[in-house]
This record gives sequence, structure tokens and C-alpha cells, in this order.
Amino acid sequence: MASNPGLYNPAFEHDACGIGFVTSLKGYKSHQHISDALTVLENMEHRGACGCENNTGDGAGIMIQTPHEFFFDECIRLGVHLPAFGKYGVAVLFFPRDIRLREECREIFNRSAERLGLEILAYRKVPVNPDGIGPTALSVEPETEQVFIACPDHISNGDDFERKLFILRNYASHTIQNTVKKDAIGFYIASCSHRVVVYKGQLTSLQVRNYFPDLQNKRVVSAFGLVHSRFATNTFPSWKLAQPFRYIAHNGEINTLQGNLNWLRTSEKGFTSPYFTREEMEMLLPIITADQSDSACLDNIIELLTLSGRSLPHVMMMLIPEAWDGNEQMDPVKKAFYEFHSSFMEPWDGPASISFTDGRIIGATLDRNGLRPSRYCVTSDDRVIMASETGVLPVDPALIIEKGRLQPGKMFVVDMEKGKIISDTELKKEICSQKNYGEWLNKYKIRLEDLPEPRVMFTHLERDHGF
Amino acid sequence: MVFKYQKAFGYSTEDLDTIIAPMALDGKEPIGSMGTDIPLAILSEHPQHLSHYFKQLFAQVTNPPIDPIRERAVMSLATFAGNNGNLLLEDPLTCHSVALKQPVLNNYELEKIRSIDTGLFQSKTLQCYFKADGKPGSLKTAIDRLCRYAVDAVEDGFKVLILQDRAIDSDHASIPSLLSTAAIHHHLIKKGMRGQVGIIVEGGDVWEVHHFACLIAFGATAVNPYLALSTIRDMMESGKLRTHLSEDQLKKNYIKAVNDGLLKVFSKMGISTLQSYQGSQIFEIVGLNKDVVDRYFTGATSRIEGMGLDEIAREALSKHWLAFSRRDIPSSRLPVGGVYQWKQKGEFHLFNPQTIHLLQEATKKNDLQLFKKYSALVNDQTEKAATLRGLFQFKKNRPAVPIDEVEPAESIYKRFATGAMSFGSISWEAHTTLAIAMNRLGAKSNTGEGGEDERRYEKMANGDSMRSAIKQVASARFGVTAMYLAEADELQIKMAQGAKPGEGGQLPGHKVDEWIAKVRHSTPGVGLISPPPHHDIYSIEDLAQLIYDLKNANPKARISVKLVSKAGVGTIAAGVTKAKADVVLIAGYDGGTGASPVSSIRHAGLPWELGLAETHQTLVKNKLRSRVVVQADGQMKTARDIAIAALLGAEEWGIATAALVVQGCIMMRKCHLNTCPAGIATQDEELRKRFSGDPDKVVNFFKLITQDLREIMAELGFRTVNEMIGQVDQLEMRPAIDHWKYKNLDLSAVLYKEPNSLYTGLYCQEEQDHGLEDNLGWKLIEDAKPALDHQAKVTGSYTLKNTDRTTGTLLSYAISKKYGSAGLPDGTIHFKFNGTAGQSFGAFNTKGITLELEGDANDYFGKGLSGARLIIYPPRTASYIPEENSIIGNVALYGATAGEAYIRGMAGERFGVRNSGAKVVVESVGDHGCEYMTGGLVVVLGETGRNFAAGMSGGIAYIYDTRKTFAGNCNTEMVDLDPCDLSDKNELFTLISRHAEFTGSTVAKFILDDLDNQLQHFVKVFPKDYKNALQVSKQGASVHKK
Repeated sequence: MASNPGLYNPAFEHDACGIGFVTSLKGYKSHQHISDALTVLENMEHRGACGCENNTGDGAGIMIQTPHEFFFDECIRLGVHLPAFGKYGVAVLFFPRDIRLREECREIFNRSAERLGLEILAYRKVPVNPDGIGPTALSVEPETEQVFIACPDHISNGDDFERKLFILRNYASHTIQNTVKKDAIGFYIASCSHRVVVYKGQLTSLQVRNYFPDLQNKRVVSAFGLVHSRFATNTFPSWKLAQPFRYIAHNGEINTLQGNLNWLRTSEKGFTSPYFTREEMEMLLPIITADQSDSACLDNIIELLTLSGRSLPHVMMMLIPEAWDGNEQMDPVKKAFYEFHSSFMEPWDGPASISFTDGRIIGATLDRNGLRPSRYCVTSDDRVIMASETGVLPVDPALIIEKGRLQPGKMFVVDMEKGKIISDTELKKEICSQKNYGEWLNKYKIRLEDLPEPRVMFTHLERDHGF
Repeated sequence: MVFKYQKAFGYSTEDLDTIIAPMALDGKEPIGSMGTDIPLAILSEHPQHLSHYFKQLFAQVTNPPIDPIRERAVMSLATFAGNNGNLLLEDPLTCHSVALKQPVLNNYELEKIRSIDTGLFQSKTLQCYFKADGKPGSLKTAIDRLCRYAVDAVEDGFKVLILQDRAIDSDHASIPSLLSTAAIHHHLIKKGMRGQVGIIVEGGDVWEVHHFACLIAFGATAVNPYLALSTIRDMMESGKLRTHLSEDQLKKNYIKAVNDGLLKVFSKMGISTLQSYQGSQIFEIVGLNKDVVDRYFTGATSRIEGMGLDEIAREALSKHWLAFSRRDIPSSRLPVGGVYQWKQKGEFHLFNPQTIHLLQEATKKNDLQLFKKYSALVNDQTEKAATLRGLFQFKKNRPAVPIDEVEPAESIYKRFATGAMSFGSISWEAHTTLAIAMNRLGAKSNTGEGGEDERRYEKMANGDSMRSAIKQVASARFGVTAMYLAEADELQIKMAQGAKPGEGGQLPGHKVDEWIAKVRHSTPGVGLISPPPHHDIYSIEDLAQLIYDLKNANPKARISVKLVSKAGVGTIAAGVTKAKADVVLIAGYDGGTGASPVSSIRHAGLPWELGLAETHQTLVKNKLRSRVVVQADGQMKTARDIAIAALLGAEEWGIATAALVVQGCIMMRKCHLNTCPAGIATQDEELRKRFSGDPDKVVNFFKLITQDLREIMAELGFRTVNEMIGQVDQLEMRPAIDHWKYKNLDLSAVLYKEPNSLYTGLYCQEEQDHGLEDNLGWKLIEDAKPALDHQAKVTGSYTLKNTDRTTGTLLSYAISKKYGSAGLPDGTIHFKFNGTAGQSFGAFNTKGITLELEGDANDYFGKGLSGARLIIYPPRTASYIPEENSIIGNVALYGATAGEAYIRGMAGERFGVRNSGAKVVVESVGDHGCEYMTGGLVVVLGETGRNFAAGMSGGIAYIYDTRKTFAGNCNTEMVDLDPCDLSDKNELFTLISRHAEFTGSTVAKFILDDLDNQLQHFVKVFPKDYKNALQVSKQGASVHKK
């Protein structure tokens, strides 16, 4: 703020967008899902926006599952033999174009990995095709690279590996942030996981397919493609604000961000978790850094809560609860879940349609008031298409077995491992009965009306003293 | 004792009579009107409440405000006071804290918490006072100590801190509760301890809703307003409240009013729960310095500096010493206030008896000298600063030019507009007088949100015209028909209103006479509600879509978006410009003729100087400035105001209040009561006879102000207005401002000139590309040529994709232009479509058009439907069951005024919101169906979501409720659920038959085959007001017959 002599403040920025995903219900991988997801993105072009130039977009991107076959072959070319799928992670890095800054960042990243006992296998420069990209976007175009990180032998659980990668990402990012000289591009990690990879940039939704030749490669396969196209209130290019982030694509606005961040900041000092050592926790903090969009902050907290042991849908229910207070029709078990969680987590409130995935399940949820559109369709050839609009992917009507919409406060999950759709009712029933939240409340919640009479009655004092 | 405390904490008699008393008596926040023209808190000579430096933020464009009354179901006031525990663990003990149903505690509840001891949970009371010695640093010392005590208390394991300010005496004054709360809140955040403790404020200086809102947003968990409660008791005992209500009931009413007010404050930001609002800091601070803000209100927006801690202490002490007087004779009365209405010895108002008189005389006599005298009185703020612009002066560092070289007045008039005031809120006479005057000048008048009588589209015998050039499109869409849109030169989307940004409005039933009801497509005598949000604008891409829709509905009209000044309005304006608006209007918070809760008039939004400067700077920075016209309005009264607006970046200007004063308004501020003595803001026939305005006076006003403006231009060396726009370096702060309170204001951010790139001008020089050329509509117009030329029947068939948006609207414009609101005969044009329609299928389509779609559609299906027939059913090849699957999106038929729609399948949320005339059959709807509906007919052959019929005051809905779930889903606040009788049966038979015929619906066929039996499953949703109005008119008719 001090840097700007006028009234403008970057903290005022807003954005909105179109989101969608195409997924195989049974988890079958194919290049078609990626291509279809890009079609969905292209058909939502009117939901994104252009800056001061028609060929500079506000940001668009796609998240897919790690395309092992493709990466394996690519790494052979780099002279590296990748281990089996699941035994390596991929971080997508945005580097400054200045070579010295870039190498400085790379060295810190390498040292961070080393410190965590993670072996770097290879760096791969992601090929891009900047034809037709506007000059404003190109002026801060980063150098995108993928880095392959081996899973240490002693880690056998996929979630544990994700946690290690999470620590690496936060620790390396913080260190680079605090050490390396900042230029207009900066350093950023778009994704860092062994399950998913993100391709995104300061693009219009029509440019994504062409900008990343990888996405047109038939060997790049995935069971799903999750896409996002952004509409910002400014024309200042920022590649890192494009979505999807690491767990979500968010169409919405967190109205209470400042408060949510304050509450998080004050409580993170006391965080303890069986999933992270004290030292690891220190390397993770702060969970949310400055200069991010509200959507990015939301992604950060979702990631933390998920990797510290709650399921992704459970986390979504904590942060974006249904309107439970005063809802007489709600099942008491569910109500108890919401009330219990509200005793320590305030809603991240505002209109929101969120598509989320951890690479194994993919789903979507809507805010309590249904302020964003979310339409889906299920086909007889086991595909699920979900997007801000219907009709974004041409489908033969004869193949359609269900067309629906996400309702306010409701969730919808495709479990690609189990190969089925889990409905809101089924999903929430399971989550709400994990623990006996109702009994916890009965036992510990303090009700004002149950409290004993006060020691001193001020109502009398009021009379005696005249006020 | 109460009296002494009232003085010490800064109560005025106005606070008692105008704020607290109505809240206790009626349980409601009081209403006011005509905006505010008192000085900003930082400029006021009168001691201010600390919260007056805090302006509420509100939602506009990027997210919707919520209606906390009609959509109460999503709102919550519940909260917990205590330790939040560790977020990363699921530990039963995290819920061991005090559950509160709402945040305002009475004394009894507070004492219970003070005495609490569960073995794990205790509370600690801290005294918030500082030494009343007037020495620098005293307040700072006290706050530092308080923060230390708070940390100690948390470390000692207390779970609730109670911040009490009762312990004051002649040597010790209270720390403003907002300051002590925020200071402790932020100190504990920094120490990582805030989550371990609840903060309850036991504050004497808390009585208005805004005070509560500030406390909660800066960290309080709950509030006990002990002095306000004692004041209520005191007023009752002294007989000031003439009421039979008990003390207990009065206090309950007061707390209810505060709660409702709080819901409104956070719903205007689009926040639905108190828990999320806590600590959200959704305010801009105007008038505190960086040191204070960074330390105690960390992270809140504050851009123009101002008072430090010692000045805050000085202001607090000036109140304190009223109570603990050092003089022998203590003052025996509370200060008068004079904030809500001008009072002798009260707060200063720019429009006061003297300036009103001078302005009216000057415009009556067309006397430039008198006008200059008036202007001088308003402009001269050397002694009494009232506005930010009052602190500016012109630099005059360019050579002056002779006045005859300045562009002629005639070419400047077109830059003026009058404010948006609806026919309904003001009288026919006042409304048309403004229109005639503005048309004579070639300037623009504004319909306001109440529609427009079609008679006004024809020229009058003397050549005058009553047609308003600007047609407003507001959230209620009153009278927004295809014809209305086609008749506009400019379409203005009202995102917010200066007097009450983020809130809806209400036109009481007694103001809705036959005439107004006709223009608004509603029922006489039935009150009308304007929803807080546009239900088709929940985000910036939605606004882009509405702009596209309106451009289709009238490709010749400029599309303007009205925003209210607030921190961040510049970025929103940039987004709006990217969404292809042609004009962005920045309105000040202080304008506004509309009725509005008193706390909203003063505490929400900012002066236009800040919003305009931010907007201009941000647009220049984004290289967007030359694509859009920037207009500003808000209490502009003189040519100097206009010149400053131009230099800050506005090339067009709006004037509302002053134009009403010219018409005879004397600022009684009774607009909301229908008793306006000047015949302006009233529909009462007798009062309207007193209306003394005439177009000449209004014309004179604009001529005088333009003449004066040209003189300023000559003096400053500008030949044209365009040259002036954004030349902010021609302004500077007035030298030698040495007022103790505002001498440290720093307006350099306002006066900052953002460097513009070579390719970006400082005023609008390019046209927006609205992308209409790809619209299917041109093809439809071509194919409909025989129908357009000679009403011949035409048919056609087409394929649609989701990128084909706003289908049929361009064609509808062509019909309206040629055939007026009558449109074409039913069935003239029948177009058949296959595929998925993009947003706004059939929007604003007029009579004579039938659109038949085999496929599905997105949001805003049939928005603003104006007489056309829409038919939609799933593809014949689809194998799913239509009535169990979605076919159209959210917010269908929003603001429809006429026409029919047959929808075979399920609709989304907010179906038929603000429908005032369309007849519709659909097979299921989502939440909030038929909200705010005032007319028309909706038949739902299946289930509805929650909160059906909220705010529904007219029209009828029939629900086919075989599972008997509807009663639980309906909001029956305003409607009765009745069984169907014979006349209903006939109505249903007709509509359902057509539904079956047009869409092939199997549900419809099933019902028709067994109608006598199935009728029992239909519930008739009958609005109570509408029922009464029908009864009254029936009685009226039978009286007439006799």
C-alpha cells in the first residue's frame, strides 16, 4: 500500500469465473477427458474476460492426473528412468525469466528437497507456444518447469508422500520469497503432488490448449480434467492467480477473508498434529502468505485441513457449511456436526461454487444460498460433466441418463476408485456419524440458560445505583 | 446517574429521541430520507463517537447483498464465546464454550457469564479507562496496560474477557470501547492467543446498530449495552416513552432491533453468519492516522490519515468533561445533536434555511448574482469544513482564458443528469417537471426504478417531452418491458443506492395508487419490495451478461452502471469496464432521496471525492479509462463542486437534491411518510396541489450553474471540459489548515495523478466492443422480415449452443421499435430451436414471438419476459424422465412482466422472482421460488425448494403437492395456502392443457386425465395483501354499482 501513492490498493481486487470438470466415473484414463475438459473451457469463454488487449486473458488452466506414460517417456529423453506411478511427485514451477534469479530459486528448491530427504530426479522444461498471446501477458510470462521428485523408500503411504511434498512446497516457497530478489515474474509453485498436475497461465480460455503442446499429446491421459477461466477486476497480469489451484477451482468470493485470515494466523501458532512433527509444522508456517487472491487462500486452508487428517468433503463442510442454524428440517446428526465445527471454525462466507479433487475423488459444492450456477450431466458411457453452464460439451442426448444441478449447500462427489457417484445425503451421513458430535455438544457446550444464577445481581445494582 | 453517564459517553437528545426510543418502542431501526449533508466525522466540530470514523463496506457487482428478512433462513446470529481449541484436531473439548443465540447480552446474562465457573471455564473483567489529565500519551499508556492485563488473563487460563467501562470518575475517563476492543483483539492475535478467549464488551458508549457492528467486526464476541438499556428504563420511568409496554419488553424490543440491524449490516456485504462477520473488519476508516490504524485496527483500509491517539483522547475527554465538569455549574442538558435534521446550535448542514432560500430565489428570478451568493455560502468552508472538497483549492497555474473562448453552455448541458428518483417516491408533477426541463436543455433525466408511463413517449403539444432519457434497471425491474428498454437513450443498471448501498427498498402500500400500480405492473394498495441484489447479478461475469442483454434489448442505448463510492470501487469500476459498460457512475454515500434506515444513510459508503478519484486512477492504471464515460453524483450543489469533479476525473455529473430544492423542497426529510409539504415526495392529491416547481426554474438552475462553471473554466485556463478531465494537478490542499482535529488529514492520495500511457486518454474516446455482431438475432430479424414488414406469419428452425446467448432479444427490439408495446399478434413468429441455449434465452421478448426449444437452457431463461411465449422440453431422443431432470438454470423469468412459458422439466433456484405478469408452467423449482412476485401466475407440477413465496405480494402460484411437503418449504409470512375451488380448476385446466399440448408433458397429461381427483393435491398460494386488495376493489365495485 505504501508503494502506491494513489487510492488504489491491490487488496481490493476481485475475481470470478467459469469452472467445470469432465471425469470418468470409473476412473478410466484417456486423453479424451482432457480434450473434452478443454472444450468445456473454450465454451465458457464469455464467462472469463479480456484485459485491455483482446488476446490477454485473465487466466485459465486445467488440472489433470499425473500422466505417467507421458512423463516416463519424456524423462527417458532427459536420461532419467522414472520410478513407478505413485513413487514420484511432480512440482510445476513458475521461474523468473532472468537466468540468475532462476538458478538461485532452483538451488534453494534443491536444498529444500535435500533437507527433507527428497531426491530430485529431473527438471523438465514445459514446452509452450506463445503464439497469439497478448503482449501484456507475455511481459511477465514465467519459465514453466516440471520437477520430478522421488518418493523416499521409507514412505509407503501416498498421503504421507503428499504431506512431504506439501512441506517442500511451503518451505521452498517461503525461503525463496524471503531470500531471492523479487522481479515482476517471481517464483511460484502451481502444483506439487504425486497425484495431479496443473497447467495454467495468464491466458484466455481459448488459448490454453494451444499454449501447452503437452495437452494435445495423446499420451497425456487422465481420468478427469478440471478447468477454470477467470474474470478479474484488473488488467495487471499475474500468472499465478490463474486456477485451478492444488485442490480446488473456485468460482466465488470470500467476503470475510480478512477475518478468516486473522483467525487462522492467531491459531496457527498453537497448531499440533499427529501428521506433522513440530519441526515440519514450523516449516509449513505461515499457511497463507500475503498477496494472494481469496481463492488461493481458501485453497491453502483446504490443503492444510485435508492433509492433517480430515477427508476433503469433511473439510468443505467445515468451511462452507449449509445453513443449519434455525433449520428445523435438518437431521439432528448433521446439525450437530455443523454446530460442533462452528465452535472453532467460522464459515468462509460468500457465494461459491467449488470444484475440488485430491486426484482420487472429484466433486463440487455450492454455498448455502446457491449464488453460483452448477450444472451436471451423467452419461451411460460413465462420464460425469459438471460446469457453470449446461451444454458446454456436446453430448448425444440419447446417452444422457441424468441432468441435474447442484443445490444450495449441497455436495456431489465422484469416487473414481469405487467407480460411483456419492450423493449429498449418503456422503454427509457418513461424515457426520464418524464421531458422536451430538454427545460431545451435550456434554461440553455451555448454554447461557443453563448457567447458575450470578453471584451478584446487577439488575438490583442498576436500581440501587440508578443505572 | 444515568444522565451523568449519558453526558460522559456522548449521548445527545437526538440519540435518545430519534434512535433509542423508536428501537425500544417498535423494535425497529428508525427510517430517514434525503441523504445527509452534515460534515464527515473528521471535519465536524461536534465530538464524535469513534465508530463515526468507520464506514461500512457493502457488496456491489462482485457478490450480492442478501435480503436478511425474506431470506432469514440462510442467516445466523449464533456464536460461541470461549476457547476455539486446535483446528487440526477433533477434540470434544473444543466445544466447551458459551453458546450464544445472538450477540447482545442483557445485564442478567452478562452477570451469569461474569460468575461462570465450570471447573475449566472462567471469565475475567478488565477495566477500560485512561487518566483524564489531557496529557499526551495518557491514552497510549492505558491501552498498553490493558493489553498486558489481557495477555496475563489468557495466560492464567480465563476463557472470557469482559471489557468494562463503568469505573469512571472525574480523574478517569473511559476508553472508547471500539478502541479497547480492537487493541486487545489485535494484541492477542499477534501473541497467537486470540483463539483461546472470547471478548465481551460491557460498554456505555454502545447504542446505535453501527456501534455494535463496529465492535463485532473488530473483535468483540458479544456486547452488553448497559447504558442504552438503563436509558430505556430511565426514559420509561420519566414518562418520555408514552407506552403501555413493560420495561422488560422495551429492552427486548431494543435488542431485537439491534439484532435485525446487525443482520442488515452484514447481509449488505453478502455475509450470512455473525461468526464470519466477527473480526472481518469490513470497514474503511476515514480520519484516523496510520499509526493508530496499523497498531489497533491492523489491516483495515485507511487512506487519508487524520487523528492520532492524543486527538482521540481529546475528543473523548470533551465528552467526559461534560459529565465531570470542572466548572461550578454543570451543564443540565444533553447536546441537541441535529444530525438527522437541521437544528439551531446543532450539527452544521450544507442545505440550511439560508442556502435553501437563496437557491430558490436565484432560480426563480434567474439571477446570477443571487446564485453566486448561494454558491459562496455553500463553497466557503474555511471556517466550517463540511466536505473533503471544501479542503481543496484551485492552483491556477495555467494562464486564464477569456470567457468567450470557453466552449458554449449549450454543449455543456448534455453532461448533466438528474438523479434517479422513481415516479412513486416522487409525484407525477415533480417527476415530469424534471424530465421536461432536462429535455429542453438536451440533458438527461432519469426514470428511477419505477417504470415509465407510456404516455410520456409522445411529444407534448408545445414541443416539450416528458420522456426520461435515462431508464433505470434496478433490482425490482418495475415496469422494465421490451418497450421501456427500446425507448431509452441510456440504460442505467443501479447496483447500489447512495443512501443505502447494499439494501433493498420498500414502497409502502398506501403510496401505490392505481396509476403507480399500472406503471409498475402491480396491484394498487399492495406494498412493493425492491430486493437488495439484482438476482441476475451475483458476480462480475453476471453483470457482463446483463450488459449484453440490455445491449440486445436496445443496441442504440448507452449502458451505464451505477456504483456507490467505497474503498475498492475503482477496481469494481475496472471490472465493470471490462464487462463492457459504456458509462460508470460513481455516487457519493451522502446523496439519495430515498427512505432508508438512519444508520445506513450516514455510515455506509464514502464521499464521491474518494470514490471518483480512486476510479479514475484505477482506470488509468489499467489502461481502461478511455473506453468508458465516468459520471459522478452526490450532494453536488455548485459549479465549484462540478469543476472539482471534472478535475478528479468525471466528465458527466448528476444532481438530485439541489434540483428538488429548486422545485420547492425545503428538506423536511419526510419523504418516506407521504406528507411532503412541497408536493414533491408524496402521492397525496391535496399535497400535490401545493407543488410549486416548474421546468423554467430547473432550466434556470442548470443554466446558472453552467455559466458559473464556464467562469471557473476561464479562470483556470480551460477552453473545453474534456481538457479538464482528470487534471487533478490543478487542485491542492488549502494552506494553513490548523484545526486540531483535521490538520493531519492527508489528501495526497486523492490528488495523486496516475501517469497515463501513451495510448490511454483521460476521458472516454473509444467505443466499447459489445460483440453483438455474432448474435443469432440478426439472422432471426432477417428471417422475420415478412412479419416485421407486414405482420405475416413466419417460422424457422435453428441450432443453438451454450455460447448463443440472449436469443430473440434483438428481434424483440426491432418489433418494439416498429409496433410499440402492443407488439405483433399472437403466433406471428414461431421459431424452433434445437440444442442448448446460452444464458438469457428469450430475455425481454415481446408479444407475437414464440420460441420453442428442444434441448435445455442456462440461467436467466425468460428474464424480463414481455409478452412472448417460450416453450422448452428435452430432446425427443433423450431417455431420462423429464420431470426428474434439470432443464433450465437459475433465476428464470426474473422480472417478467407478461407472456407465457411452458417448461417440461426442473428449474433451478429463484424461479419467477419479481414476476409481475407472466403465466408459467414448470415441473419443479429450487429454493426461493416466486420470491417478491407481484403478479402473474405460476403452476409448479412438482416439488419446490425451501423458502417459496418469500416476500410475494401479488399473483398466484399453484403447487402440485402429492407428497405433502410443500407447507414445510413455503415461507408463509406473506401468503395463505388455500385449497383450490372451481375458478382455480378452470384456470389450471387451461394452463395445464396448453403445457401438455406444447411440451408433450406426461405429468400434465396424467393430471388432465384425472383432474377432479388430482385437484385436491393442488395448493393455491395466495398473497394476503393481494387477497385484501382484491376484496377492497370488489367492495368498491359493488358500491359503485349501487
